[in-house]
Amino acid sequence: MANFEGLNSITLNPGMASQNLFALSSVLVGDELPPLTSGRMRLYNMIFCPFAHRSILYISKKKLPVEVIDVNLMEKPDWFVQRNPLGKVPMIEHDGKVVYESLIVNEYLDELFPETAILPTDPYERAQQKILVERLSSVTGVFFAFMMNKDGDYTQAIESMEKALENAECLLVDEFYGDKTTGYADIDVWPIFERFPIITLNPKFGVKKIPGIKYPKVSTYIKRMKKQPEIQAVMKPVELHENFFKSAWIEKNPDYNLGI
Amino acid sequence: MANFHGLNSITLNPDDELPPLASGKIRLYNMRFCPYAERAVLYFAKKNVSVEVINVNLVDKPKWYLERNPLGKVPTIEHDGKIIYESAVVAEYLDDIFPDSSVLPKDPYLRAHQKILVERLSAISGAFYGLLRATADNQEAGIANLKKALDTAESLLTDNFYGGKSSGYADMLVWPHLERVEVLPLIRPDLHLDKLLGTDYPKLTAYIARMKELPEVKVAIRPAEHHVQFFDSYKTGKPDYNIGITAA
Repeated sequence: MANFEGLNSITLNPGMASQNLFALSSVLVGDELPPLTSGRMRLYNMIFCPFAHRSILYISKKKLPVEVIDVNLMEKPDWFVQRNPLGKVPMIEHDGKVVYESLIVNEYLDELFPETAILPTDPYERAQQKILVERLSSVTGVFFAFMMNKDGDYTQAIESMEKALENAECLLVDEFYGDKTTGYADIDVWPIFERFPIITLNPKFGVKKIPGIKYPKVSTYIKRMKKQPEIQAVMKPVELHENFFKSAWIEKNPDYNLGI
Repeated sequence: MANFHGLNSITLNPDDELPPLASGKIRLYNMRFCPYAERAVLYFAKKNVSVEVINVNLVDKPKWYLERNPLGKVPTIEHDGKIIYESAVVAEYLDDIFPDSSVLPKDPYLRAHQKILVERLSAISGAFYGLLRATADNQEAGIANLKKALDTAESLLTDNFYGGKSSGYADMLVWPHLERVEVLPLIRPDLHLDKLLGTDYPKLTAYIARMKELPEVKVAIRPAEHHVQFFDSYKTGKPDYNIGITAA
């Protein structure tokens, strides 16, 4: 998508030598942080982070011109921690201001650029989108229950998956959680739905299909979401997601440069 | 405070009928000792918005309550057929429908900063509950956890309030858990936390004193003894939601 710069730039590590790198558009990367021009907006990202993905989707849908800097979260550069003491992505920076926490970033972007607002302007509808995010949060929990499982017993993870999907099915009363078009809640939950197929790729998890025939609305919803331009623009193949999670959670050596 | 009706009304049980809600009126479903519901009470107090309060039994949830909030949690607000819940969502919604008394700043960056503060202060609640239920095995870790959360709170306090010169969104949302942290030494005397807030946290100590002077905090705060009694009653499995309600 033309509004992004550096979306697949090489991850900036603390001690990497400067080099020109081929990316979606040319952004110089290296151990030095490129200066941020006044008036320009920058997103600190991690290529495979589902939380940063929420902000990438927001920026994608709003078609905002944004420069993306990918960060090595295992070895956080000083300039990163100075801006966000919590050391997490996503983080937005512009004109000396720094905002972080994915949902706060997203709402902030809507407040700065109300012409392309994704959150409704009506206070009640707005509140309902935020309540939906809360009510769908079990979906995120499921994903990490599988990824971070330590004892090899996935019974509880599978149980929580069924409950979360039942809940998601029940809450889907229109084409999207944002009704007729993708909204705040859809963007919040999509990164996890995009990664869900990973759960079926590992035979040890014992899950053959996700979401499966018990959840027809969610199944159709996922197919519908994959057709949305803002989703497609930044979607990654499941194998790439899977390889990243393997490198991060099993090998404990996240490969941020997969797929570049 | 004149804008509240029923703030200390008797807690309603499943058998109790829910009084009808007049059109145009706002109702808050509350539990008198819930820190999250207290956020809403503080917000209503600070905004001086008229509200009718229904105190709900959360251990034995009335059907009429679950029909409104399927998650069965407080706070929930209701008006003209609309239901809103989740304390932070309730607070922001109130600012949206009553913008003249907005607690959140209008500036997008300052607004975001208040919400980030709430996130950065959020470890206090987990640390509180961890120590509330601490056993001999985990109490040392629990105390370390709380100290870490308080260290963060101390360092983030760079003005009179987290909201700046006057109390703001972050103060309203963080106060209820600080109120309970203060009482923790009385609830769990066995943990020997008496010196917890004392000299180690000069800014927080001054902040807490300053907060207690605010009219909105005076409305919402519960006396230490009541917190102690409530937590004691909670341990029996049948919490006494009506502690402190004097006969009419």
